[in-house]
Amino acid sequence: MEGSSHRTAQPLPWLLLAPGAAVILIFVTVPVAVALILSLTETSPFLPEGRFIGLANFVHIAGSAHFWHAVLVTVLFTAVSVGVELVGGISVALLLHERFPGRPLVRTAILVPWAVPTIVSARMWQWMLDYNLGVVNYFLKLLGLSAHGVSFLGTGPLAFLSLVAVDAWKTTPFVALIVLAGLEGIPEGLYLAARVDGAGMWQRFRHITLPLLAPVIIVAGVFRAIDAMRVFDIIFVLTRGGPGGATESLSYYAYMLLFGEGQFGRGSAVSLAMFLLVFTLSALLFRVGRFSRMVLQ
Amino acid sequence: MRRYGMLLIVVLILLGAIVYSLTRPEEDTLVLSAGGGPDEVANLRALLARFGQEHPGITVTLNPLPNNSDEQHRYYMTTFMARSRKPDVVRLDVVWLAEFIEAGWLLPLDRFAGDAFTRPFIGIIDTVDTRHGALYAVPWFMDVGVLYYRRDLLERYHQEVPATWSDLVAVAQTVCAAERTHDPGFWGYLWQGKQYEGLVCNFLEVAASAGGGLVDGQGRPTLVSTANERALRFMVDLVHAYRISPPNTYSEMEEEATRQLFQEGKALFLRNWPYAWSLFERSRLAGNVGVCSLPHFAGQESVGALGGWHLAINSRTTRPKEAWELVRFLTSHAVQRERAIGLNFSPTRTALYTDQAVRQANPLFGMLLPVIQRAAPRPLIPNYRAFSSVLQRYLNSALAGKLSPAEALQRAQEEIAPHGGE
Repeated sequence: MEGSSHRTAQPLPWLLLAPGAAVILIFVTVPVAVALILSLTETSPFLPEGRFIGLANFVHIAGSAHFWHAVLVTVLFTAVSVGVELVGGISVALLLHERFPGRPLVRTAILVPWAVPTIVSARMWQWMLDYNLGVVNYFLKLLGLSAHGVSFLGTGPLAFLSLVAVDAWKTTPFVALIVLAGLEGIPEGLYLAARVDGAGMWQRFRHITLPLLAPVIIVAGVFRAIDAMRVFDIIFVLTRGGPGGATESLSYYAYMLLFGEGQFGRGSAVSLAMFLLVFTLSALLFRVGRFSRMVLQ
Repeated sequence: MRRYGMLLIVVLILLGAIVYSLTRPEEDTLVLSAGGGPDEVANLRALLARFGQEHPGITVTLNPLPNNSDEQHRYYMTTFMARSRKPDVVRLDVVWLAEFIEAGWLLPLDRFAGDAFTRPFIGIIDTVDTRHGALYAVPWFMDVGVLYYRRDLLERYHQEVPATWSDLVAVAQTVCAAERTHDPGFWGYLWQGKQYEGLVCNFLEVAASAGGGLVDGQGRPTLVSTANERALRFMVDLVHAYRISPPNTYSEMEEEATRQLFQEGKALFLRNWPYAWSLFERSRLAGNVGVCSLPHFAGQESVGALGGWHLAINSRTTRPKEAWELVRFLTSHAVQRERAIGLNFSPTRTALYTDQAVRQANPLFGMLLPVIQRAAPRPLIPNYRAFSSVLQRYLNSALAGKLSPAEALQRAQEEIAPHGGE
């Protein structure tokens, strides 16, 4: 019977876990369950109680070009913006790793874009990128780089790139900070030894920094990818999914279905499809991450 | 220190709870939800204060919404689907009435308003606000698309106010050529082409002025027609061929964006709603802005899109009588007269259109009543949201040059057809 005193049901740990579990239950499990149920119905302002229609919603969106276009926009946006943010974040982190006068100030300053709420900074960028009255076009015209200004949100590809740029502006600091923490965990002695052996800057980066940073980069990358796949606020403020629906991401499409047209059934089906997409892609990214770590080492 | 940490957390939670309960409106406060331009919101606050004084015992708060019609609609969609009891009184776009009535979100008003009440109002109270024989809303002010122009610039370059669309293009190109020598950011004609409800209004106006339209008498979509294609082709050309409308017309231009640009003196013509007039008259453009009905294609008639905002009561309100008092106050002869004189809001009571003071304060009204009476409504179908959502996307695609006008209309027709009908 020795050791049984350690296994008696002590209520305290369960009591302490209870609030957290309640939060997860209320704000995660219940909404997902409700979305699942809703996606199997046709629910609208004219059918508020909902009518069970099985998988009809999923069949419909699987055959809808509109849906697949939204998937394409989402995946493309994720790939490009995460790529840009990883490269940018690593570069910024490498810079901030060096000592230079004013470094503490710079380290704090780069967090400002990340700290400003997305809606606010998106609105700010909307005004800056405005074709007629925006400050970006003002400088482009002033410096003679453009005669009439650039309509940043006017064509599909350019609007897409503008969205990527605004997103990168906001979240590169986040990536930079995570990578910086990883950099500071690499022992200085390794670099010293490498320099003694005659290794150049690129070789040191390729054979010491990258492999040891790999787990951190993967974590930052997966986090960013999951967030990027859910992109909504910058699209809502800057383009409203335009021009002509060119920048409609999956969450924006779901939002239009749910709150624009009141189709709660089909909107929930799109949301669930999105959940599956995010889940699959992040599982894949983790696999890829583990594989590349083996390769780099 | 740990002890004080716990105490601090408890105190903060208590404070939060107190602040929360103090800032929530009381259950018996009447809430009015309304969007609108800056002038309208300010006027509403003043009106509500007066109502509060004349009806002690009823407190009313204003819940201001964005000016964008679609955003207001989404707010109401979320609120009513959640079966909320607030807001009590809502300001609704005329195009939502069929939908909201069918969804059961509006309180029938027949127990408060009989024939004696509705008689002084413009005809739409019987056609649009009444459905299945019951009255659900009261028209508050009319809205119709009009053309604003810079009188001083037309005089300077000896141009006439255009009657047809080709006249407009010719005049705009002449003035632009001259103005752009010292202001390269000057535009001929500003209108709303962004992917939202306003685009449908703009298209409806051009299409109807070419003899086309959106639906037939039974509410079935009739998007594919030579007139409609001609209209859409013209709108595309305004940006890409004639270059008198800026390239961000279809990506950034909503009502306020075009109004601000025009007010900055950057354009010759502007299509907008009457609300902008009083804002221009208080700006540095005062005295130099004229208003007229929109141009048309040769051989056809000028058409403005019928807008207008109506007041209705949430069917789940806890205070229907007080809510009705507020609706009656806001749509009363006296208040509408004030708003007509002070803010140029077109009244919904026919008597006010022959009121001397109103006509004097309002050079607009001389031309406005006939324009309102000829205005083209958007389809009065319950599924108008879905209709508009699809149409917006394809119209915007055509404007962006991604689809030809014919293709855009064809695809819109195919996608909308299942939604059409009463």
